[in-house]
Amino acid sequence: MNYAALHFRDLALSALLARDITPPDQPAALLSSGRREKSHLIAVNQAARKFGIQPGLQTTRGLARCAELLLLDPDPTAEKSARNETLAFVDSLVPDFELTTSETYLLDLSSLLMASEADWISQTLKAATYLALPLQIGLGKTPDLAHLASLCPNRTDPLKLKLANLVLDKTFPLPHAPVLQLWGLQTLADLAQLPRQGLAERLGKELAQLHDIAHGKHHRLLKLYRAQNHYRVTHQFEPPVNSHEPLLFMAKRLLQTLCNRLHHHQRAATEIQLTLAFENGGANARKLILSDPTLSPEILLRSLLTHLNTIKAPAPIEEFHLELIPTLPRHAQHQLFSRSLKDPNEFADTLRLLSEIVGPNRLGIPHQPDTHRPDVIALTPVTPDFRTPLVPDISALNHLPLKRQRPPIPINVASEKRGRHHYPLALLTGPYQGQIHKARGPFPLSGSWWEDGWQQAQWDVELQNSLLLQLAFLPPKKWYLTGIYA
Amino acid sequence: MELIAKSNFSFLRGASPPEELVNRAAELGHQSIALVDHMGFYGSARAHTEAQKVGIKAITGATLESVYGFHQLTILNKSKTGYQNLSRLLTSLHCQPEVNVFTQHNLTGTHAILSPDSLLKPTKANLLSAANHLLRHFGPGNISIALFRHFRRGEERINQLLYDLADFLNIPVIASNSPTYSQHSDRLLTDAFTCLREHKTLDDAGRLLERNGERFLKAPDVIRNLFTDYPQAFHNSIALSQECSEFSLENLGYRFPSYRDSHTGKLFTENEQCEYLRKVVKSGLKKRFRNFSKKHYQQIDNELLTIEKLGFSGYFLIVWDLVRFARSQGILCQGRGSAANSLVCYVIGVTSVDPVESGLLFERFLSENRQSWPDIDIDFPSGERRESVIQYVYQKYAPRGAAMTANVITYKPRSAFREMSKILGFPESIANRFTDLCASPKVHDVSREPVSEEISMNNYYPGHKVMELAGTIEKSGIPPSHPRFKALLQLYHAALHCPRHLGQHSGGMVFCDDGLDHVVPLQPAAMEHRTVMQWDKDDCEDLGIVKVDLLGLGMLAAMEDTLRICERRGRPVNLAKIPKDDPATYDLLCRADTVGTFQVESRAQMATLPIMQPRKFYDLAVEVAIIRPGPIVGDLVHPYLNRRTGREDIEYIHPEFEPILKRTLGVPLFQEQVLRMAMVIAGFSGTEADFLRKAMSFKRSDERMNAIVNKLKTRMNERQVAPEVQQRVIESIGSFALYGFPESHAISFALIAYASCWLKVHRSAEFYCGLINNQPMGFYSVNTLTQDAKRHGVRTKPISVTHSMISTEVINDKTLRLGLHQLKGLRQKTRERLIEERSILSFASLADLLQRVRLNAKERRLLAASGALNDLPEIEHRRDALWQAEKLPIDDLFMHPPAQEQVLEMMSPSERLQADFSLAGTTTGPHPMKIWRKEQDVELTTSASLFEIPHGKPIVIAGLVICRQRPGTAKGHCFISLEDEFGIANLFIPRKTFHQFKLIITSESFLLAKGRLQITEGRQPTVYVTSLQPLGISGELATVSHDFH
Repeated sequence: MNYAALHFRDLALSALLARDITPPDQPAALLSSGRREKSHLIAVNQAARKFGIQPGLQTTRGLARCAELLLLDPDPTAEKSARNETLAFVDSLVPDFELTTSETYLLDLSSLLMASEADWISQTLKAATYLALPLQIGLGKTPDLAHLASLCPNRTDPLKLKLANLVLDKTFPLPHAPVLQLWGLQTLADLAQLPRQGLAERLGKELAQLHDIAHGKHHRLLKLYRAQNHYRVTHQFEPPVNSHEPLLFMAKRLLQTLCNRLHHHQRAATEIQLTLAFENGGANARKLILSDPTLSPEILLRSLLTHLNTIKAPAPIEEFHLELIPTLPRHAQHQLFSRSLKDPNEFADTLRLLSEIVGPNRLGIPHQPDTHRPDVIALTPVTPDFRTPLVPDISALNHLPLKRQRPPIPINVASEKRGRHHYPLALLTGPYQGQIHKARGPFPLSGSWWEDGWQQAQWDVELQNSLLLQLAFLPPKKWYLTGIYA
Repeated sequence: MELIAKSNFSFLRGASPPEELVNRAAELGHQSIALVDHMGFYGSARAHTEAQKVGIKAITGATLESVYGFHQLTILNKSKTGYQNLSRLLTSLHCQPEVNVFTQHNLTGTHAILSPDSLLKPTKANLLSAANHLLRHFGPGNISIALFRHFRRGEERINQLLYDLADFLNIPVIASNSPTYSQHSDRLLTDAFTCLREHKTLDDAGRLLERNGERFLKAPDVIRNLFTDYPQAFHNSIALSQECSEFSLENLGYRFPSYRDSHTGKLFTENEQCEYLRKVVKSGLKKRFRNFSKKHYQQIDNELLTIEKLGFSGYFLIVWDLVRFARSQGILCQGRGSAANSLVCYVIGVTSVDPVESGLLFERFLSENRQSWPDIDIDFPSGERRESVIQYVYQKYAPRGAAMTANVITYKPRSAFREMSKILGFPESIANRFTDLCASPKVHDVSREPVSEEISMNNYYPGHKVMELAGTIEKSGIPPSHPRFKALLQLYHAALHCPRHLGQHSGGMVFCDDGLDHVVPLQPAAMEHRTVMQWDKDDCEDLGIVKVDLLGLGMLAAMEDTLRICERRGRPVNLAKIPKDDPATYDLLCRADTVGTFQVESRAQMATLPIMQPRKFYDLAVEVAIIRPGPIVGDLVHPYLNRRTGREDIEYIHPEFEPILKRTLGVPLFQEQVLRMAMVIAGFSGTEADFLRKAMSFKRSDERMNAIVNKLKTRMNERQVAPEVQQRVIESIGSFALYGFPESHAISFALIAYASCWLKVHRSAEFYCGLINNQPMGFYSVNTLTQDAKRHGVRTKPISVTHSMISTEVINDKTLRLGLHQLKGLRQKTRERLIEERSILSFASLADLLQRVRLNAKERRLLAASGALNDLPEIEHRRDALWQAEKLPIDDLFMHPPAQEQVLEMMSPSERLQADFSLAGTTTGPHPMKIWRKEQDVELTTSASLFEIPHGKPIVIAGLVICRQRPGTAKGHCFISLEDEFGIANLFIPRKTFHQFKLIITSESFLLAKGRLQITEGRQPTVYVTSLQPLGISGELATVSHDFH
């Protein structure tokens, strides 16, 4: 047999069970996302199958069949970690392999010297025990036969493979699964026994191809997996350093290397992730998002420098990790669509610097939010293209210019309650005092009653000296001078 | 004198009910209030009724939106003509939205109000142009300009503009607060509704929300003080409101249509109608009775005199005409309800009960004391046949002379919570959880709740309203410490029962000679070719608008089919002439062999029948009436049965009740009895008794009920009735207020029930065929019906392309052939083409069929897998058909057909069963349990052997669930009907066991139940279940079960 397939069955579920060291006799199932009451089971372990629980069953029915069924929500992190471990394991077995599906690897055994296939299988299974993941191995003279054999629980005869299993595996989709089910076909052997021409005439080429695979008449080349290039480097200082210079020196060198790697893979950096480890055990991690994907080590270094200038190290730096997050480089035709900024990254650096000075969430483009609440300002984060925030048009009905008092000045007002409202009579304290000659109002305003409600009554008043003022009364008895009309 | 008020019948534009606005207006000292709901008179009827109570005037009007260049235009009615004109305009705006109808309508008698809300951009030029338009269209003197003061910046500028305009054009100004809610605090709901209307959350709505809470209903003094600078505005408002108050809905002008001669089209005068009705009755008498008694004659004479005196001859003729039309189309129909008390209705064919023979009193239906119109409800076969009668009415009174009554859809607990949590920004998952927590089964732990509250509760969330609601919300994922928790609670209560949108009543129709659109605005219904009026049935009743209920009954459709088949087969049946004392029919009832019959097929009915042992028709009427929530909650079932079986002595609550309650052994089972009890014990007059009847059937509020009960108590106290008697009388009324059932109605239903049982006994094949052809209906699936048929010696043959018709057919007295209609996924046109091609020439082969019928791939597989192709030559079995049908034949004259090879294995019995259930919903093969039993090596009790096992013996039984029930009256216990190849076993699952195995019960189709046998009253075996487990048969085998209805 030239090929072997390693199938880590129900990896998403197995990874969680391995992580939590769940006993193998504990029935467990992985849930689909969404509401638990409406969810269904997307994977189940062997113990659960004994209760008649199958993937696709509704969760409630699963629980009805086994009250002890352990329900697990998908955890992409655990799954990713398990996948990396399986990848490292397969990498240690053979130089050439294909990452066929998220759960299956196809191995080219031609370069291996082995006493017997059975020995190799038992050794491999033994070696994989540390993964604590269920593993099925299949051998075959063609890659696809090996793959099919690995999906087959008895590991040897792919023809005994249940057709229903193929539906779950994206490599061998069954487009006419309902028809095959109606035909009463249970296994691949059942399919292989049908006349190829009759099958092709009825259900098309795809089924004919599967027929060929089952008969070992279909061969293909492996899409060999090559380890992904990581754009991450780590450097340890010995002894730990007290200033930025040595760090920047090393960073510059390493950035050049990382940029070369990116260039080689036709990628550009869109984010820098820098983690500093201090001698006292502390750490500082920061993501620096680049406004424009770049391959320039200088630009990247400048962003690093800006960031380093804003932090104070609590202890000497012992180690740093630098990672560039890749993306496709941006292609733009020069002069055709001119940008508002020549160097968005430089502008982003400036904004970062400003943000460090004024504090988080205190830098942006001010705009008046859509609310009846007077004198409220909100900030929209600045983008390098200076995109102005989309805010509704707030046209004041009152066209008289108003000089706002920010913050409003608390004042004492002599007032009289008429009905539900307090009517101002004279300003007793504050910058403008005196009897009120004329008053217009009240203009009661209120809102946000569903959470932290606010309310006030505005007044426009004219003093004896013809000065026009805007007052606000905040119940129960606070008065403020909020503005002066020009 | 508030002239521009909007209620919550403006649908998301107002927050207070019309009744509340009117009450508040009266409290504040208004002499009148004008309700100007958005695009209609939706709330006007309620406002009018309430205004009459509190002694103020309710002015009618409407606010038009986006019409004639106006954003909002308020129009008031000054006179009946104005009301009719505006009603017609509103109808046109709803029914012909694409046509500019505004200028084409005569608006005499109406009064337009130009307000600050009228234009989106109220500039000087725009306002001048708008005012000139209105002047041209409404005429001088019919326009006012309204000023608002909501304490908003800038409104004075618009007020000044409007005032100057009024001055310039010599138009009077009026003062209004244009309220959209009655109290200051109702502003919250207004904001919430704004969000729902604009599809936003409260956080995103911004300035769409109210800027303050000033748009509430203010007192006249407050309005006057607000407009001290425009004193004439206040006075003009009063003058205008006085002018508009001259018309009220009392003078609506509705008149029930006169009978129109079907040949000449001439409308009959009152005298002609009386004469004609007498003629129709005379000819009906001859048809109904060979020799009618003197009693009948006197009764007819009395009834006709009353009818003529009350001027209802036309009404009876019109109902007769409807029934006549239906019969002429071969449509089965029967009147129900109190109409069965009338001999006239019986002889003219509207009802099928002889009231003289049944001892029913005409006065319960119609009397000179009663002011209201008689109520005749007619049952028609549901579906297309009922629709044809409805369309007949539409056409007869066209154009716009007929409409369905509205059904106001209100916010229920789940919808109120969903909408309010949405606008507060809570995720949908919270509302989903809340819905699930409040979901069916609706019964909660009754040990903690009084039963009466549970039944009368409008809200289904567990327990006591506020306390438990908070708990449920918390369980849904919002802790009480959440900053928006209080707002949610408040909005929930505010929105609950508010109108949400207008639906249509299930069968209530109103019609009118000279256009119904001048009585009330009409609008298109969701169903094609139907219009709906803007008032519901209670509004109609309040305003004296007569509706006729044309209701749909699935059983009538099935029976109609049955009769048609009987006639076709040469065994015609005249339902009117079937013997009412057929022993075989009563035997069937006594042994509760009633699967598929009308009214007596439910689990509870089947459990009662063997105890009841009905042997005469009236027993059946009692049986129909007794298994109802009213008698069950009122604990009347057991006393009746105990008295019937002699285990309890008969007593009459009060000696004076003996003549009233004698027929029902001293237990008040019927509404009529309760009314007569009130008349005897409290001296209620006929009018008061009628008010009690209305209160019992009036579902809108408890107010009427409380009022009449208090009156009853007072009267009984005056007459020194013993407190325990008082208590029992009031309890009886309370039960009927929930689910009242008049005796005449019970008798009408019992007639259909009896007829269905008779047909089951004497025309079994035709009866099952009729039932199968009219599914879905009733309690049981087609499979349960075919299994029941098999037990009665009627076998069902499978679907076949060479033999089956579209519908299921009767082959002979012992055999049915399933029709193509049973196949899920076979298009109607394919069925028709198949039958048509086959009628021309039988199919010679599969290829011949495929070429001529042109099936698509799905249909080819469907027919093959269901075995429908098996009768074709060269088809060996279903899989063979599947293999052959998958390849389309090549249309080549010279091509020799290839020899067919057997490629696929034939289906196993369980595979065939699975295919039958999934494709046709039933099987003609063995019962799934028979196959299961063959495969398993276990000895279980069967449904047939239950009758031989002694009481208390532990048993294990398995079967297919055909019915799950957990009625509100069952204190949390659950009932399951389990079917096996021998029959049906009844399971009783106590509340605790139900909770323990809830998931298995609700999700599994095949169950294995352990427990002990209980032989209940009437020698009925029931399994008292102690544990349950799934049987492990594929769920796909299950047919639709009747669950928790």
